[in-house]
Amino acid sequence: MVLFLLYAALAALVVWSVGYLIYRLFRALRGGGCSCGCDCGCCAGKESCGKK
Amino acid sequence: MNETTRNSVQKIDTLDRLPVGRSCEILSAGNQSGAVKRRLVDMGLTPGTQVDLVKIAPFGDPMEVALRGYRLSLRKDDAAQITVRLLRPGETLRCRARTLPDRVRREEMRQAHNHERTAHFRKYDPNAHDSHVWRIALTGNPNCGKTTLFNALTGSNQSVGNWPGVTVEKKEGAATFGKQELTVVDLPGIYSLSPYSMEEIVARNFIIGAHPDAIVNIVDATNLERNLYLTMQLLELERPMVVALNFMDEVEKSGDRIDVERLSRHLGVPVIPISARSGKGVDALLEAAHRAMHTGLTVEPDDLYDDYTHEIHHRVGALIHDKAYAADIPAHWAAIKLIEGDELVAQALALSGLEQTKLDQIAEEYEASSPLGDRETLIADSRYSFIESVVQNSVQKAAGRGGRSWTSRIDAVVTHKYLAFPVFVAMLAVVFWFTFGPVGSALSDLLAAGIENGLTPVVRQGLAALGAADWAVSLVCGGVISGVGSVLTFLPMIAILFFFLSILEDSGYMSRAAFVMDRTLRRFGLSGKAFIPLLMGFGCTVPAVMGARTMENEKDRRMTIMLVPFMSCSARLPVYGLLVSAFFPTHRALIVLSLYLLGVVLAILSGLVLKRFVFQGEAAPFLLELPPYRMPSVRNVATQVWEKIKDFLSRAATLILAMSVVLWLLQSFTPQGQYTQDVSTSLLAVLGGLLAPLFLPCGFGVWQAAVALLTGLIAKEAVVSSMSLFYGFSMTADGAAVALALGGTFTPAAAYAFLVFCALYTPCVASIATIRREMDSLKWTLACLGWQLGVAYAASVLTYQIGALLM
Repeated sequence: MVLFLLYAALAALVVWSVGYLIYRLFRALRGGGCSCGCDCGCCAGKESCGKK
Repeated sequence: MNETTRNSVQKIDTLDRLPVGRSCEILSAGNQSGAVKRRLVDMGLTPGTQVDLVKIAPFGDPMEVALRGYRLSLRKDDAAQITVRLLRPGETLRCRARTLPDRVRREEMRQAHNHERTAHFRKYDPNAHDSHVWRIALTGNPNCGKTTLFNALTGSNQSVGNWPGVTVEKKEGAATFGKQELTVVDLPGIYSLSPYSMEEIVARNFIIGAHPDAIVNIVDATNLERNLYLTMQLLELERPMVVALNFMDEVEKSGDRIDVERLSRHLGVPVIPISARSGKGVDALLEAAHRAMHTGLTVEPDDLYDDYTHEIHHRVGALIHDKAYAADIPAHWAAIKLIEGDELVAQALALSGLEQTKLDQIAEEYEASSPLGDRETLIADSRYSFIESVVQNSVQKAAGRGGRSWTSRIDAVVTHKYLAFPVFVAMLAVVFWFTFGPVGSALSDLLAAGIENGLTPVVRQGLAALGAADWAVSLVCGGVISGVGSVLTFLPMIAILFFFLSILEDSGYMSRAAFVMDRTLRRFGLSGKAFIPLLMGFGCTVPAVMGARTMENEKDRRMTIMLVPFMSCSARLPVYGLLVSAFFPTHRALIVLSLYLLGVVLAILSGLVLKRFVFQGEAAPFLLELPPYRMPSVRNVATQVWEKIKDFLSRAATLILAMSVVLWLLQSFTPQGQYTQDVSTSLLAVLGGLLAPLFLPCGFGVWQAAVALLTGLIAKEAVVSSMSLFYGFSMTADGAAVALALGGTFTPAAAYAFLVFCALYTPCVASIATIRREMDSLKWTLACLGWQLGVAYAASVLTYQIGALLM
């Protein structure tokens, strides 16, 4: 059972990693990212989103 | 005094030719470039102002001048646009203050605005239910303590420093007044409401367009005259406003006295003395702001301008009144901006041809009324003469204050003609020694040892005990822990570096470093402020790229970011160490030094090329205020270091983790999807094989080199570990053993070409992500990486081809 959970977690990590990199790539292409540095992407780089 | 001497001291000249220690009176300021002239006028360099030349920077430019109670650094080119009259030694100009109205006149002026009070009357009720979340805008000159006040009001941890330009964008936070929530907006520091720079446009657009419910104008009480210039323009907006007199503790300490009530009476708005650092007076300020937004009326003092300017103002106001209301721009302010020649306001009002002609006629009439010069200067002069009157009436300077201030004493050393550069180098040497020397390295090694000898074996054993498959152990230990861990080992260095930089920022030294280095860097199209990020690049590209935020000009900032990766970061050292000891054992230091120098030379050449073809145009004026030195605050330093650590950790836990896992996938599976422990059959090797032919002209067209360079994108040290894996030598092998292992594929010329490529090519992913974030543009990021790659490839090919001919 523990082993199964471990494999599931690792599989999820791999899927998340690939997905996250693709997401970051698309967001970069779209011109996203907060210039305030909080990196939440909500303000599309125009100005600070105020979350930080 | 004989006639010859009298002529020599009275002569009219330009500011750049003023001898050190002498004073002059400004006759006219900057007629060549509109932008520079506007900034000069905004900074108080108006006709009739006394300017003292304090010193010239060690390399002959820029110069430090004292005026209106503060110190300013400006380049000789800009100073050459200012015509001056040399004052006799010991001569000082008399204050040109106007006579301020007496009680009777003030009452008359108040009565004249009664109709406005009646029309806008609102009773203050602190318990009134607010219909929306009120917004307070914090505005003021750069480095007057806005962000410190913002942090005090909202409990935020925004970065603060003792140099102008820490905040370049607006930031919002929540504060509470009683039971009511208020939104506080921290705006970038501005010297005036003229749209001169990016941050000024951000601040101006917010103040004019976003209609904050109240404006809190933070004024540096130690530098009242220059700070009140913005206050005058904010008063013209006639919006609810409060003036916060910051640094009152310093004023009291110096023995000066400011009559706050009298100042408030002259300005016509509440003035609250505060100390943003200690939080003293902050509650009273919030209450005053709350009161101002509820009562909602500010009337610009009638005596702000001289009588004729006042009349001109009203004539233009009558002309554009309706259009200003239609465009939702304060009519009063718009009228004065149009007289100044503000093109953005003219566009927003969409004046008809007839209106524009009438406006031009009024402006010409105004200019003809005085020998002072153009309309912009006339308005500024009128504002400043009012400010001088107010300051003269409200400030009492401490009597008998002799001796030099601490700032002058420290500056006597750190900006001294001969000592400045050695002090600068010594200071940086100390910072670098702590960061990358024994202290930083020991902490990094400790962390690395903890990960490698502590965490990894424990996890490996735990997984083995669970009976996990080889691939699972490899993914967790070889992928996640090794990948993220190799980046985390830099954490102590980042923390130490930012600890020292925060101290330097908070003390006020940064402005002096820029002052000292400006002349040298301008030759390569950069400003003096670029020096610190470039030097930091020898340590780590990530903080260096982030350090480029100090640049006041976007062009300079982008160019600095493009040049920083040429500075060989410390993570490349293991690669140099490995190949130099293998192929050049007798000339190790020389070869490593040549790689560092190559980076510097190519950065200089790149700077010249970029300046010539990409970042063309007039050099941005270097008008930098030199703030007084202040003791760094423990809270500020701790906050800044913690924010940097948090930022670094969050990136390691997301981007670096994802990259490490993906790289592990590529090096652990064959193209057919079979798990393999033989890297040469992995997908990564196949991809490396595709790339390898590209490196044939460089002399290392083998898949191992291509993959090693690819893994170097995750972290530069990965090049070494990849090669040890591919060529089968241990990390502790000596140079001869490594040379033997690499001998089949690398010649000395190819090895040097490989080193050149490693020294210059695209930095690691952490740096790329930082570049992307700081550039805020995919296009610029790709251009930066493309430039790096192109230069590295060309240099490597040339090195190999020339080397092959010689060897």
